[in-house]
Amino acid sequence: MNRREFLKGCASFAAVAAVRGFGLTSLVFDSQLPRPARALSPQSPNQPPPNNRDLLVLVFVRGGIDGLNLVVPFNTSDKDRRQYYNVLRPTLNIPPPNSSHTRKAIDLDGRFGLHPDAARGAPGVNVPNGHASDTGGLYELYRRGDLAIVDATGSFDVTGSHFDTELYVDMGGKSNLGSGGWLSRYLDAIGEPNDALAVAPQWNPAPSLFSPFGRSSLVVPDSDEFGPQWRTQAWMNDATRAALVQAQRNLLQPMYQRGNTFIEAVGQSAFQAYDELANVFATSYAPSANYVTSGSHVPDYGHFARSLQIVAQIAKASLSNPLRVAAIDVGGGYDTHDNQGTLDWNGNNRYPRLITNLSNNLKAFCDDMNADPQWRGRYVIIVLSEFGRVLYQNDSAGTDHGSGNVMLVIGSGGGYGTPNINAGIYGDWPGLSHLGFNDGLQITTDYRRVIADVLTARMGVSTAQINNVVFPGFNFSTGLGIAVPK
Amino acid sequence: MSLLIPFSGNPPGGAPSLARLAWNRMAFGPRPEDIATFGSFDLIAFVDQQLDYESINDAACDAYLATMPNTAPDNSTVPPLDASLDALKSYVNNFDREVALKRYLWMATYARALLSKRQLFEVMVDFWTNHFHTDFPTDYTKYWEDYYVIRQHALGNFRDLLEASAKSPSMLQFLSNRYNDGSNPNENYARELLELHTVGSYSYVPGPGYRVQPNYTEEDVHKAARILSGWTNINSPNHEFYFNASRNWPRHDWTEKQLWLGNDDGYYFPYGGIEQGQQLLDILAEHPSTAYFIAFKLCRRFISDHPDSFCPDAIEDGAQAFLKSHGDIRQTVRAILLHPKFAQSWGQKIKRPFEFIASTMRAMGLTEMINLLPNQWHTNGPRDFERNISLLGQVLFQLTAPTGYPDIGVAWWNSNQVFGRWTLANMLVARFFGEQTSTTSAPSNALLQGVLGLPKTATEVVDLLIERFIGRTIHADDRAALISYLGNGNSNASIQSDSPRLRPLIGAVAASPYAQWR
Repeated sequence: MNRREFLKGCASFAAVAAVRGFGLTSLVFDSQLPRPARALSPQSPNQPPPNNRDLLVLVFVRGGIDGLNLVVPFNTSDKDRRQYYNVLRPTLNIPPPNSSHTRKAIDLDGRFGLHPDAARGAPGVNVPNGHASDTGGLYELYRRGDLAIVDATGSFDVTGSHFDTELYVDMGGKSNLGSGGWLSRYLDAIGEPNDALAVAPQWNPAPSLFSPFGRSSLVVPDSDEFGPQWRTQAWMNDATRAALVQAQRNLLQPMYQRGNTFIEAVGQSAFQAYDELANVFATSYAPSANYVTSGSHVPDYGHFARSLQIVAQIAKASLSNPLRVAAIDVGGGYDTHDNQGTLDWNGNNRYPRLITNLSNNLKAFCDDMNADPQWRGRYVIIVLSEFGRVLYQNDSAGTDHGSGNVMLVIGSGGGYGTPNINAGIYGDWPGLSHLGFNDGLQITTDYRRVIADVLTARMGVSTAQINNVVFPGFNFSTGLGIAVPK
Repeated sequence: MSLLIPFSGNPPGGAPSLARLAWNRMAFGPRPEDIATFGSFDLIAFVDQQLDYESINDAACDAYLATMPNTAPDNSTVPPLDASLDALKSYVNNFDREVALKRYLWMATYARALLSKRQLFEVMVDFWTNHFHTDFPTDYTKYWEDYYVIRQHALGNFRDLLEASAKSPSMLQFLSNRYNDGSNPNENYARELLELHTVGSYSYVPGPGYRVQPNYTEEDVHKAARILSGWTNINSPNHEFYFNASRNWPRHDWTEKQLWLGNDDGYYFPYGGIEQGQQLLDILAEHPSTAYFIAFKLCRRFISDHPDSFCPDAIEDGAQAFLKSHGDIRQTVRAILLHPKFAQSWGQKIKRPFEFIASTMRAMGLTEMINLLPNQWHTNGPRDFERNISLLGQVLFQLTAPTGYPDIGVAWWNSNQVFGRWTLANMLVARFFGEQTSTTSAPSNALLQGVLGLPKTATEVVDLLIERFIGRTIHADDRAALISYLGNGNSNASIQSDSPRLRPLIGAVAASPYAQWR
């Protein structure tokens, strides 16, 4: 019995469920696969990205997350609270921390509070439907200094369209549509070779990694299914399977040398990545933290959790071509036009599940990475969404497409030696009385400024490279002071 | 869209015949018996015959569908493909039966791609399924929509299709218009109606004239939502559409309205009920931007990932045909398929997973689809196929984004596709031609023997497979390597279905980069 047969034998896995995302997103694999015990392998030194750059993990929440109910402005001003937030969202507001409700916002700085499902497991926080991954979530990251929140951010190119706005954000600006995604241009800017490892742990490439210069990201929807397979119901030994696949490879690989179209370029890099990673994925990953993948807690069949684990698995492997960037699309229903839900776990728990998925799994990823001392302070996660939602709810207990939103920057704030970010709440709060585009929150900080802050401080990108290569057309001068310069 | 990576250079190997190109693009690839007709191929006759799909005798496919296994895991009988909403409602009393409906519709869709002689019609069904995409998991109404909305109008009139989609229970649910109340509208459907279904957002259709301008404002979206308020199926016993003229939620906003929609004179909607929405659909269906947007997408489906740069004239011709015929889909498609650029478009498209799977099965000469209904989890069994197809990312009818699946190469070619398609080709070979568990022996298989007309020499087998799966010449070294492998160094070796190198060879040819072009 090979490993695959073993997995099948363990069976009882739920139906393959598909695709909960937007744009080119959509992860597809089953989250319930039982995991075999980790095979013992000799400890090897880890390998953060070369040239003393931090690993960049981009998390794009597709669909337009309602940031106002994630980071709640409970005390930004009396007017905001009494005349706007509570009034505009009569059934969709999150009660303030000082209220008598059991479930309410968790105070961050006296002005903003986190949705309680972004603080699951933190002391004193009521947690319905408990789970092993409830270790404090985003709140704990904030408390220990690992989370920076930037409010009222977004793209000034915002339109009411998911797809246009996602495109503009992925390409780093409306004027850059012809030059690929900004993540691939970041790799261009710092002179990384075309085969520098960039991973999209999902079925499709992340648009921010599209490259007109032949960069090809590794796309891994399921680490258990990595690489070509010769599969039979009848027993056969692994060596024979490998021999048959190798015979096919001997025929196929030369065919990828015959031309220079996209088909051949991608194929060649796929073989290279396979050779680098087949051994890594041959061992099932045993994370050092609890992710949440169960269907009752999360709305995306566990795709996000699995994606993060694939990133951690690759990052922690000792690769001669170490991981530089990872791009994950998160879906599961963030486009909450109707029946959005607020706090309820017994009735409409849509929003609580969306937040639990994001918060618990980001926390798990950090714990998982930090379990290895070499990764502490060596990765930065940026979380963004195409736009926020309208300040007021519609008549179907949902919110339509708005504009400004929160961004998250997650790293290490000093709890583990050298810090790479300064925790806190950033951005100019515009107040709720000034409606922005589409009656959403006003945008006061260009999302690119947040990214440029991280790239210049932690990835060795110069201001000129930001303005000429990564974000042409964006006039970056200084960041918000989120990332700690090396 | 201009962000997409231009393919540099031509695909390696020879170019295909016009017949092959047409069968790759207007069909799901040729079957062996189709290849036999290539000698007398005439493009105009082919297109006209395929467009006149009702006149094509499809009895064999219909007979297959009529007898396709329809027993769900709970031993219930899945309702027929043309079942009414009432019949579907009474059938679906639990989630497992919704899943059974979905799997049955997958089977039928693959079976039609595999067997139907109305190939262009099936391609257009796929096109409109994605254009007016709704997500299957909403409920059983998707099953109904496939038959009564998409297939009903796939080569009919766009205006009819548009209204059928607007009233489709699946669409009402998927884009929330069922909840759209006139006093505080839910704009979800109205927005996608403009952006995705009709006039399109300008960034989708770069080019001259109408296409560089925004076609609508946010204000238009909000007003369109008010116009369509009360188009609902709330409280409808079988989810059927009705217009809510009452004062109960979700009620219609009867007030007069004015929309811009790219026309500085504006469009005026007098006080009224459902007729406001019908007027809006009339305007949108006749709007020049809609014509260009639909023509653009059809050109992208049939000719090039970059129709705005590769074949702007074909977009123009398609849009003009659409406008002159008031949305006649046949005339629009015909103008595009017979545009000279079509014949010059080799190398402009690659297969998506659906086309890869369907064309591979057709090239294999198969006459049955895998029964996807049973809950059998074993390797190469129904659930395993479902899982591996979903790993390729194009699960039919299942996507939360209302865009439908993209039809551009960069979205569908990456390391996961390189390996996943290869694995899937091997699974198909094992499933239909018998599993091989050794490098030195393989089972005899009558189907394999028959579809390849074995015995043949190694050279003959390789040339036959290249013709069927690739349809053009490949690099001489690659051909020689295939022959050498199959014959173990002897190009005249006699190959039978139990030759131990035949199955790996078929999998490799099917998965080869040569076979990924559409």
